[in-house]
Amino acid sequence: MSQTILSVQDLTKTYHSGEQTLTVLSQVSFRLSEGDSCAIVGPSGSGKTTLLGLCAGLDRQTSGTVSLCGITIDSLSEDERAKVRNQFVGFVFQNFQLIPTLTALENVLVPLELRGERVNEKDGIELLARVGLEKRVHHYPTQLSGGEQQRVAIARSFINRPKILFADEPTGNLDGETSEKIESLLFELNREAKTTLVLVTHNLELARKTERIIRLKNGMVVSDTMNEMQETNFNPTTAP
Amino acid sequence: MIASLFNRWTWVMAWRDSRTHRKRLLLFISSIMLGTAALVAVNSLGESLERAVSTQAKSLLGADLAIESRQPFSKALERAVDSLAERAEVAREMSFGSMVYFPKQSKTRLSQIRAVTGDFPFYGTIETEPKSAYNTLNNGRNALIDNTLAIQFGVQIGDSVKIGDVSFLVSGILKEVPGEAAVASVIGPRVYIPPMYVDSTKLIQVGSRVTYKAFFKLPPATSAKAVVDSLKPLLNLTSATATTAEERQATLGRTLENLYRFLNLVGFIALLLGGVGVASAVNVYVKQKLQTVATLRCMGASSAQAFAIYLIQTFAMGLIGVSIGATIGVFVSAFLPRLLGDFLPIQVEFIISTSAIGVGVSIGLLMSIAFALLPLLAVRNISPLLVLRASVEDEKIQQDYLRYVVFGLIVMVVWFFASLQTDSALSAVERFKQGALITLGLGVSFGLLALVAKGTMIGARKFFPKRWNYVWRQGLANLYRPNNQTLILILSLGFGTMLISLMYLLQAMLIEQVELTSKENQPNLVFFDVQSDQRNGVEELLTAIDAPVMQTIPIVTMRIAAVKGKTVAEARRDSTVKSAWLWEYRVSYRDTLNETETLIKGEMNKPVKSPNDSIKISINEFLAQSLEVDVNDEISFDVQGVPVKCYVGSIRKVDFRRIQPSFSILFPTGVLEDAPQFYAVLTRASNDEHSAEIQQAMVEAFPNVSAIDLGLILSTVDSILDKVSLVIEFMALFSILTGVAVLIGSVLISRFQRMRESVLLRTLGAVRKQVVSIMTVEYLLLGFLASLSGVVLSAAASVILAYTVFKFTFAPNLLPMMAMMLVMIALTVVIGVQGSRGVHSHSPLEVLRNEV
Ligand SMILES: Nc1ncnc2c1ncn2[C@@H]1O[C@H](COP(=O)(O)OP(=O)(O)O)[C@@H](O)[C@H]1O
Ligand SMILES: [Mg+2]
Repeated sequence: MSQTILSVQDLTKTYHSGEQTLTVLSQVSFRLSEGDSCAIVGPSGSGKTTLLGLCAGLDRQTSGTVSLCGITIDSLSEDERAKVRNQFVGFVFQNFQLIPTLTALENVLVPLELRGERVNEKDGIELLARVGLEKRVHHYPTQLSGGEQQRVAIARSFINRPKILFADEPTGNLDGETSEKIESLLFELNREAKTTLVLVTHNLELARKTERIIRLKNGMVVSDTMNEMQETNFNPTTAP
Repeated sequence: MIASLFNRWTWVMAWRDSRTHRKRLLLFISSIMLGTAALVAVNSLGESLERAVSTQAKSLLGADLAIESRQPFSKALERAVDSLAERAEVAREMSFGSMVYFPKQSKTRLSQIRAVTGDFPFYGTIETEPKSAYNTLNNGRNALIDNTLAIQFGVQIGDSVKIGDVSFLVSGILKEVPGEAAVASVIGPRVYIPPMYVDSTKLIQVGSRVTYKAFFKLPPATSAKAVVDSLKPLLNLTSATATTAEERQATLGRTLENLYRFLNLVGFIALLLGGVGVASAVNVYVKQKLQTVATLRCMGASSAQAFAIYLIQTFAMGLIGVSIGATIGVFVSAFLPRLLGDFLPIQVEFIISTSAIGVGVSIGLLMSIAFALLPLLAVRNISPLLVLRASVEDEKIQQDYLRYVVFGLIVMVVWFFASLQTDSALSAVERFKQGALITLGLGVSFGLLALVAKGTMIGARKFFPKRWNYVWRQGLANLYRPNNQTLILILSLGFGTMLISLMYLLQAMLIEQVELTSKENQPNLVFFDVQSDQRNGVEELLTAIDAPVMQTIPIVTMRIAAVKGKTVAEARRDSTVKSAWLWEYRVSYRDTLNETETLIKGEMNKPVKSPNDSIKISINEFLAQSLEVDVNDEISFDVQGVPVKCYVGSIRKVDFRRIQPSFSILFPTGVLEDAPQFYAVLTRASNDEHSAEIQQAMVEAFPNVSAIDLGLILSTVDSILDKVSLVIEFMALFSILTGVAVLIGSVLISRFQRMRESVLLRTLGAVRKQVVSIMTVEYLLLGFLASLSGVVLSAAASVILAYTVFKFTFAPNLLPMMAMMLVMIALTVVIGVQGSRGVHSHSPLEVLRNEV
């Protein structure tokens, strides 16, 4: 059996505002193995981003357990979680989250540099070439279009050879044509690197490209299905 | 944390991250610049002063040793001087106050006449125009007059000057006397005459105040202090005092040190203000960096790493700001001695002082980092979650408990620094107490200003005037919108205004004190040294020239014979004698208090009707203290050979700030009427010409009678205060400029945000004029609030100071303060609106695209 990369057990998140308690996520459990790809879908406000944040150790749950690559992150300090992320996790965000003061290449290299290792710029340049930005290596984010920025972000997310990649609405801010390019890039790289992928989206077309779909509604898992239709024989007209 | 600071990547990242914001960063750190400049300038001035005092030590006194007495030297003292003369060089000086009269200009002025025998000064030179004038003074009936007299009356070399009964030829103009500040001549112009003519002036009479001095140049191996020690018993007997060059150096050193410390404190305040600027700028900066930090945290940066990046940036910028400041400081320090020139009795040379630069730079750096840390510490708590949810926690970053530690540290540094600036002669405890008071004062001022700012924000939101027109509403709303500048601008501008306004008020306060005396119907011209046989003549002369004789005050000189039954001779023998026992007292007699006096103990004098009545006198509180006597204690006097036994009947408090003849001892009437006496006559001149006319007539008829012209004193005090306040205002300027730097900094920092706003407004159809108007309104309100609080605070401070320190009620004049407010408001609006100008020159697209 292949190795478990992400395991989520009875995950619950509540917010308190005054007297009221808002349960954003309730008793969510699932498990992903090496190379799995999974989409988390659901209407806006259903708790997708919250779930993603908890899985990546960006936030603390109210109850339940999360373990990443065999490490239970619940009791880790902020800095210990940061180390885990640096080692095993990659991110792609809806709003790209490039550091505005760094060039494309420098942005890509940040995760490696954070490890304190000697950094080989070639790796970064190669990855940027892989996403088609070999000519924009020294440009700043403001000099790039949204699609280009997201390609830089994708290059960055793979630079540390993550075991798992979290993507929160990666094409949410992009137009249709650009979205498609970004999507295929993401899946290609993911397959090549055998990275586990967690993709948050409210776009069902996109979700269908993954092996598994978890549907959230009001913070609860309403369905968790394996996806028979892979992208090779994808037909949008048969979508429910 | 420490490890992160030595991590290569942290430094690389700090460098890269600062790339696009470097100018912005530099700008806010520049608010620390002027404070540092002030500290460097003042500290190197301090060092220049110290060096000047030590290299010019001997010329400060002109001799190794000086003996001074208000009476002719006693026979024993003369003998001692003679025996010293066998191994030392001796020079003598007699000096006394007298009117000098310039017939050609028909002008008179009370001056200080000096006659020197011997080779004085032994060290340094008396500088004159022409150069040889001092050396050739004794060759004829020559006089050297002070430069101020020459300038005031247009006197030239070759003119004549009448002093007492003798006419002298002005043979030179006095430029500089070693050890005396130029400003001294404004108070009492100096005139040197040959000693052989002193007697023929006929100015030395009963009651004349003559100072006798002997100067010594000792052989190299002789210690001046040893000589003083050997003379001590003799000096005590005759109430003469001795000063060595070292003592003079020490006293002057201390005076100058106090001056330097005061200026240092003013400079430090500029630094503090700059610190507030740094804190607020870093605060904005940190808010702008939230997303970057969150992303880095997401990629796996530890909180220490993220924090280190920004600590390195602020440190580097601080270093740059402080270095520029130090450079400015060096230039200013070249200029400061000239600004202070008239006050300094020494030649101060400009030096580049490495220790001053070191002190300024390290304090500047320490303060900039401490203030930067206040907001910077929050970086440690920025959550990586912000990458997913930018808007939720954008507003409030969780603050760090370490802030309180840093804050406490700043308070300690301020306290320590303030304590260091207090008088070094005080005890350590007393100095720390005073330092605490200064710190408290600063804290209260900052606290109140912060309260005004917070109150404004809350008030504007709560009582928002919904019916105002749009521009005003939007401008007002800007005061409390996110990332507003209300707190920082009210703090920095308010504090700057407060400082300048306080300086101004203190000056006004001191002048008002003097002006109290020049009120309608108060005497403004005092003639003293009027001899008994001149009294009628003087009074007649005054009446003839339309000057009312307002008061004629009799003065009798006497000495103390015994206190509480113990004679001065006995006290001398058992060495319990105090100098107050030995003075010659100028005593008047009356049975009423005048308006400058208040009784604090006992009853005021009653007329003595029969020789059997006991004589109850009134003495002032200081004399009571130094003689250690209380009401009903016995004091016996020697009234020019006649013993008189008295009792202390009352103790008075005298307001010495009034320019009125005041007496430490007042006899009752009925005792001294027949004793040899002289008079002070008080009159009132209706204007300056009248005053000159009266004085001139008086000098011609009674050359020995001197006049004090209150008008002249007033203008003298005024001109001295003008010079003092120039120095203080110069230092306060650093604070104001820091305030301006903070203003410019915060305008530019928030410019981008403003750009987006204005672009949005313009997209929505606002014309450019509306956008500018909104900004004008915002800065108008800010400038108004800041300057109003500053002015009100300074007024309150001055009233409190007047009441507690100067002991009178002071009503600040509103008009100049309003003028100051207008200037501040105009400054704020101009800088604010000008600084945001770029907002309009960018196209909306450019601006929208810039936001990542
Ligand atoms: N800090 C917070 N405090 C209170 N409620 C929050 C907070 N963060 C998110 N929520 C709420 O949690 C719910 C789920 O949000 P989110 O996970 O962003 O949904 P999705 O990503 O599926 O659109 C929403 O109703 C949101 O309002
Ligand atoms: Mg979401």
